[in-house]
Amino acid sequence: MSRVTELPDSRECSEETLVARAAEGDMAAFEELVMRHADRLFASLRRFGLDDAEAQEVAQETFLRAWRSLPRFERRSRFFTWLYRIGFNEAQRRLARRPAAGAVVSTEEQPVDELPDRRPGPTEQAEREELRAALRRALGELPVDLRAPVVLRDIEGLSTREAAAVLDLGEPAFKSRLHRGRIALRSLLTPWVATSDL
Amino acid sequence: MSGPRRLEFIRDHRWVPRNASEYLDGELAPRERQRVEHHTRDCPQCRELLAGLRALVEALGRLRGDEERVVAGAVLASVRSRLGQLPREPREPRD
Repeated sequence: MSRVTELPDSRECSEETLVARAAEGDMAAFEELVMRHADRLFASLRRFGLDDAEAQEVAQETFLRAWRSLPRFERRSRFFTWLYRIGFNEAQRRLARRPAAGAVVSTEEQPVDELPDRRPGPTEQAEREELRAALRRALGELPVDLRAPVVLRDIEGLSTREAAAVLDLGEPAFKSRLHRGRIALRSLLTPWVATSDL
Repeated sequence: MSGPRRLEFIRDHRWVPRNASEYLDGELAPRERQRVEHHTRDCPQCRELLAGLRALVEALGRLRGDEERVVAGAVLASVRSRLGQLPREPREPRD
């Protein structure tokens, strides 16, 4: 008696199953992985400093490389962490090719009036938006090697271990960069941070 | 402040700022955490540093929802159109 085993619809599969099936060449499973992760990866790349077009290109490139490499993916890390690693490597290469946009500068070197004014805005929402803009601007001024740990740990919410693995750093080196990045950001945001009013 | 206490204060005043991030991330050993907490009770400068970093980390966490866009369909379309042209070779780093 023969028994027919039907594969479940990709949309209903766990990520683990999808990764296993994609590694064996199942395109539908891989496409489901793209649909599940592309938006988040794109957002991470934008926060890292790529513009919309670059972030989309890098996201595409990341998935193409992932497809080719999935047979070698040993599943010691989460699939998304592995994607981050591919994506952030490519993003770092692109950002490194850009003209030096701005080394870290202290508030003494950068006129304070370029940072957001701490005067109350018309509404709390407006103040929040002003702060977000200040944070994004300050992040953009950080050197890439300090920005990446801050984005991965503090914005993306990865654990120290995961974020260090994405950047291919040992944990002590990662922690050192993260701390230096935070200190530099704090300096850039002095008017906001002085009273812990972030 | 007595001599030994003053020396301890100075030593901790150098140590705490270097370890402030690990403290905030909950990655210090209990004894080291106590060292931070003991020092910051007496040191307004280090207390302010910790408060500022804590506020910064919280504010960064609130950026998590920013930049969210629905691009998955477009990314998938592009990936689909290019997949047929690419060989599947293992070239990426191991996880």
